[in-house]
Parts: sequence; structure tokens; C-alpha cells
Amino acid sequence: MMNEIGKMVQLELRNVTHYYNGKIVLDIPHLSIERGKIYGVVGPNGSGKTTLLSIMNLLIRPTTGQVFFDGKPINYEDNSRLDIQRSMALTLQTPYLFNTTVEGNIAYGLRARGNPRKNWTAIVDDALQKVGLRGLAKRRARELSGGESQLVAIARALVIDPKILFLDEPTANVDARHIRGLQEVIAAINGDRGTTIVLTTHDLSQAYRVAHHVFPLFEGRLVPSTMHNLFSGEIKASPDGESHFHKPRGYHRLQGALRLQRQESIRGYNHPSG
Amino acid sequence: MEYLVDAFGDSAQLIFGLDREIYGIVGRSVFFALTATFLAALFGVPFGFLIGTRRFRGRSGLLTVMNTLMALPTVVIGLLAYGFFSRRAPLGFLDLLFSPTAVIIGEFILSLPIIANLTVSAVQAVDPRAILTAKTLGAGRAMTAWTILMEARFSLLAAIIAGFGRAVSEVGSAMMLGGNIRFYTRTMTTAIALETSKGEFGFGLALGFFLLLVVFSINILFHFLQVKDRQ
Repeated sequence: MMNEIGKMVQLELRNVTHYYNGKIVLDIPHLSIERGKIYGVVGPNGSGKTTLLSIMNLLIRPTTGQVFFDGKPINYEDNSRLDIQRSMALTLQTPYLFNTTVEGNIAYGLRARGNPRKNWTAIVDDALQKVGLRGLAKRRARELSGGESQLVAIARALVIDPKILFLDEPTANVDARHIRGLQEVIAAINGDRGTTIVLTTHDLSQAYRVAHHVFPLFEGRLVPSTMHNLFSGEIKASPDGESHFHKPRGYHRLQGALRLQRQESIRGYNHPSG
Repeated sequence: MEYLVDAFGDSAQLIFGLDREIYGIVGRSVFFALTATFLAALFGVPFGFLIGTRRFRGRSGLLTVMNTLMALPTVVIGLLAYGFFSRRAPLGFLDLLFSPTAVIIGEFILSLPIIANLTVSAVQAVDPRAILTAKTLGAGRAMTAWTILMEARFSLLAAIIAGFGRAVSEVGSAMMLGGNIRFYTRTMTTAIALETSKGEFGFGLALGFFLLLVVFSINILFHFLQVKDRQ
């Protein structure tokens, strides 16, 4: 589904709000996710990142507004929602691994999709190799470290070949040793398969290293990017109380330079030899 | 003291002499209890699962009733069931009184609340992320439910073992509904009560030994499964 400026929009949120215990926790007038891109949602704890991912992954229904997938509005009442949900995958901030082997965990999504058991071993081994955990298929999942658990959760999501992969704070519980490897895996998934990835993080520099687009989220609202603020310094409050971003002179040139810088950074992860 | 030594001697003779009646009673008791536990698990696990995973009006009241039923005296169950199964009672035409089926029904009623209650606890103890993870990986309702049960499998097994323990060791309802008929409805507990009152302490002791052996065997099996799960 192309939008008005010819971009391939895969997922779109329109006028989405979500309330919890009578308090608004998310207010997104518009957000579109393009196919094959990596998006970073940055914000402090409690800013609504996980709620946003849960709405995008169709796990929760927004209080108001509409979610569109490939241009079609989501109907939460029928089975088409489950089909669409099955084309996405989400890994939690603290991934839950089922009380079985690594193989049993990774094959879970295959079982849910009725993939024959005889295919599992090859698919699981391939996924483990991609995340750098080759040979761990028979290990008890609960014996893994935090970093390994996160990688197994990503492998578990990978085997179902999702159109969109949501990663909730993928490096939050990972030691420094595994963070770089994890970022490389994320870039490789996007580079090799063209999988759209939406990840949340509270680390702005990490978001810029990994993502093509970065959305800062604050108190449930998307706010202008910090990089924009840094280079423009022009967020003005209007009388209606809303903040408006005013583009400075040379803004588009600056954006082009930033995009180039990010692309080079991502290329660096795809080819980590440098 | 001599009385006790003689009793132990008699019981050893019955056990090692492979006394047909003793082993018949043990086999029958285990069969009744296993059948009753199987049926109670068949109903109790899904029932406990539903109560453990759903929120509805009157849920806490239902849980209170279920907790109360766990402590229900076995003779009360026997009494109530007797009221239904005796010849002039509503279910008298089924001719179940003093039959193995009646004993199994009594034991089923005793095991059911235990299995259902412990299933509620087992299901509630499962990490909520398990459900969320199942859903994010595309599991439908049935697969999500199965996943929860599998995550709680050792607690569920413990619930079923507790149900079996209650069934195999009860005496009140088996006595009232089975009538303690030799070679037909006599169980370990009813036989212990009868033989001891007749002065056959050695016979009672031999059956007591088997009763303990059954309970120990199950616990050892459970422990073995737990260790295997951790490996």
C-alpha cells in the first residue's frame, strides 16, 4: 500500500489513543511504518513504548483510533486479526522462555502455524546460527544467560519469518558483551530478509546506530526528534498548548546528511569487519 | 511388646508369602483410586484451568466453596451418595450401591475438589509472560491453554498425586458405598478397619505397609520427574 508520497506503508496508526485506569497513556495522531525499514522508538520508562508495541502487534486494542495493516483496517472481532498477528512477532523486554529446550522454544511458532515436525530441526539450527548460538538446540532454555535468552527469543521470532519484528528493549537485560552482537543481528535480519523492525530503547545513541527512523516518545506522545532539536533549537509552544517544530533554514540538507550518516552506520553493522 | 512382634511376624509372612487376599485388596484399591483420580483429573483440570484463567462474577464465592469441599469429611460424601444410590433413592434403579462403581464415584467426588483447587493455584502461578509470549508467537486459544498447562505441568502432577492420595487413603465413603464386600469392594483402608476390629492386627499391618508403599512410590516418582525437568 503506497501512501501519498509513494512510500510502502505496512502499518499505520491513525488517531490512536489508549487509556489505562482512566488515564491516557498513549496519544498518537498518526504514525506510519514503511516496509523494510528499522524504526527506533526512544523514551524513558513509562513513556508508553511497550503499549505502543502492543497496539502495533495487535495484542491490545486501542481505546480509540484505528490500526491499518497493508492499508486495511484491523477488525478485532474476527479471525483475520490472528492471521495478521501471525505475520508479526514481538520479543519482550525480559523474554519468557518456555520450560523446555531451546529447540522447543524456537519451534513454538512453527507448531502454531502447523509446520510439520520433520522440518523443525533444520529451521531451528539455521535460526540459531543466525543469532550466533549454534549447537545450543538441546540445551534447557532456563539455563541460558540473559543475553543468550534474548537471542533465543529473537531466533524464536525469526523462524516464523515475520513481516514485522517488534523488539521491546532488546538490549535492556543484556550484558555489554552481547549488546554489539545483538545490534549486528538486528541489522542483519533487516539487511538479509528486508524484515521491518520496530524496536524500543531508552538509549538514544543506540537507536540512531541501528534505526533508519527514530521516534522519541514522551508521556505517550511522539515528540520531535532530539537530533532535530539539537540542530534547530526551535520547538515553539503555540497558544493551544501544543508544541510545534519550526524547520530552520537548511533543514532538508541537514536531514540528508543525517540519513547518510545512519546508512553508513548500518552498513558498518552488516559488514562488521571494519 | 510380644503382641507387636507377633503382629509384625504375621504381616511379614503375609507379604512375603504372597497372600492372595492381601495382594487382591491392594490391586483393587489402587485400581479404584486410579480410575477415580483419572476421572477427577479429566474434569478437575479443565474446570480449575477455567476458574484460574477467567474473571467472572461470583468467582471468589466459588473458590470458597471449592476450598470447603477439599476438607469435606469422607463419611459425609458416603452419606450423601448413599442417599442417592440406595434402593429407594432417586438413582436406586441404577443398582450401584455396594458395587465397585459406587466406590469409584465416592473417591471421584473426594478427589475432584482437590485436583480442581490445586489446578487453580498451579495455573495462577504461571508467569503471565507465558500467555503473552504464546500470543505474540501466533498461538490460538487452544494452543495458549495447552501452553499454560504445560508450563504448570509439575504443579498439575502434584495436584493429581494429591487427588490420588486422598482417593487411596479414604475409608468413610468406600465403607458406606462399597459395603466392604470381600473379593469385590474391599479396599486397603476398609480391610484395615475390619481386620483390626476382628483382632487380626498382623493383617492390618501388612495392608498398612502396602498403603505406605503406594504413597511413597508416588512421591518418589514425582521427585524423579521434578529432577528430570530441572536437568
